[in-house]
Amino acid sequence: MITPTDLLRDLPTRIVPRRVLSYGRVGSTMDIARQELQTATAESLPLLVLAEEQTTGRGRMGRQWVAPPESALMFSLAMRPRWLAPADAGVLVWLMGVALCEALQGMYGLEPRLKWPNDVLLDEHKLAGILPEASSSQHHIEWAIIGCGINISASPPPDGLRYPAIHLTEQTGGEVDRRALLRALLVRLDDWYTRLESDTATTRANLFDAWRGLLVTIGQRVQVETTSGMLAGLAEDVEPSGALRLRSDNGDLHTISSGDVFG
Amino acid sequence: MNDEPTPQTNEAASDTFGLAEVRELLHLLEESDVNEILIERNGTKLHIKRGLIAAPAVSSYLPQMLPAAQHYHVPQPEPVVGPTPAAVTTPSLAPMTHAELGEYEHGHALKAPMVGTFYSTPSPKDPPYVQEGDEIYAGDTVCIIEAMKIMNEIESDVDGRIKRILVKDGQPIEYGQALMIIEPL
Repeated sequence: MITPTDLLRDLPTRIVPRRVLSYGRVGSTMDIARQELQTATAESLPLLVLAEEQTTGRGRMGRQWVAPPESALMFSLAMRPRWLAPADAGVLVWLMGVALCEALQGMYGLEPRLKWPNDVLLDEHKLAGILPEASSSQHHIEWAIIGCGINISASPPPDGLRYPAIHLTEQTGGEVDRRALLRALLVRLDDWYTRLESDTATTRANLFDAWRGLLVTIGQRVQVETTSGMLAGLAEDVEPSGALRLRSDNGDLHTISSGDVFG
Repeated sequence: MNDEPTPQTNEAASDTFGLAEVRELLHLLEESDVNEILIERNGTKLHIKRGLIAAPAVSSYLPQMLPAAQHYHVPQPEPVVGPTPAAVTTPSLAPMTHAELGEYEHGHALKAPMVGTFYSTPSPKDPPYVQEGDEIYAGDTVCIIEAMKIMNEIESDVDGRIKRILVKDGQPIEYGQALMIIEPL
């Protein structure tokens, strides 16, 4: 089990995280993070909530997310980024995706890519999922929680999966030090987050470039499932907002801000 | 929705502005570039304003008038499931009906602070955050707007009662689009 003391010992970060809660078995780190945010002081945020096992772990739209104990890295990062406008909430998705790719590159020399907008892929299989939640007033984000689950030594069986999965040890060929990977990820998160807070416009642009550069989706023929139906076509690029620009088979150009992409 | 808008005025209707007169004014408005008419006669006001921005929960949608680049953020009467969707549409630029106009003028329009998809519930199996008739307070969560996979819970900026919810579950919405009308308690 990764303890807060082990995790934070000599961790060279400035503010991510300011506090760590580590559990063996919990319902969901997202739920705990949300509960903690209700009373958390500014000095205790960002807060990292870790768990070795989740009994009610969830993905997007209430989908279940389960993993055997200690076979994954599961955590939620809670913050109050009131300096971000509601329309910029997607920047937090880029933040986690880019930071994780950088950590994997730095530690293992891997070349992870991102499937628009928030799935981390290795060798065209899903290694990690990012589940962001936020609350916004009309003018700014009140709070945000970025949940993340990384398959370390096991991945879900292909039955019923919406996208084929992979785990990290399949690529590294040996045991993975989860604590070391998490520390590397926190360093990258801290770097981006502190810059984003102090110079939002510039860092947003830099983060967008980094995120866009990692998107394997651009240039691919894809199908996108939206609430209004399925679209098929060429993913030409992303808009500055992060929305996917899709040229459908009949030549129409669509700008998609919400949807599930299938290659 | 009623194609024959019911006239509403800022004050109680009177004989001064009969139905025929209002119809005529509406007709003139539709045929002109004028966006707003305010007439005051014998102490009675008639205020007609064209809905310029994404019209709320209208039941008819005009085909996309703009070329090529289309925002896939628009309501369709029925969900389309298939290899490719029907023509993507945008909210009608037609004027709001007077019934809608009246509600705007007698309540607070809670607007979308971002582009995305509207959800009325935390997840498909949960009950809606709010329903028409509910009393709410500033800071209460009233819906979710999703974009870039981030589920963004939107707070009300005022106290009041939900008079109308103008958008449907799963509906793509634009920045600034009115989501709900909240009347003061």
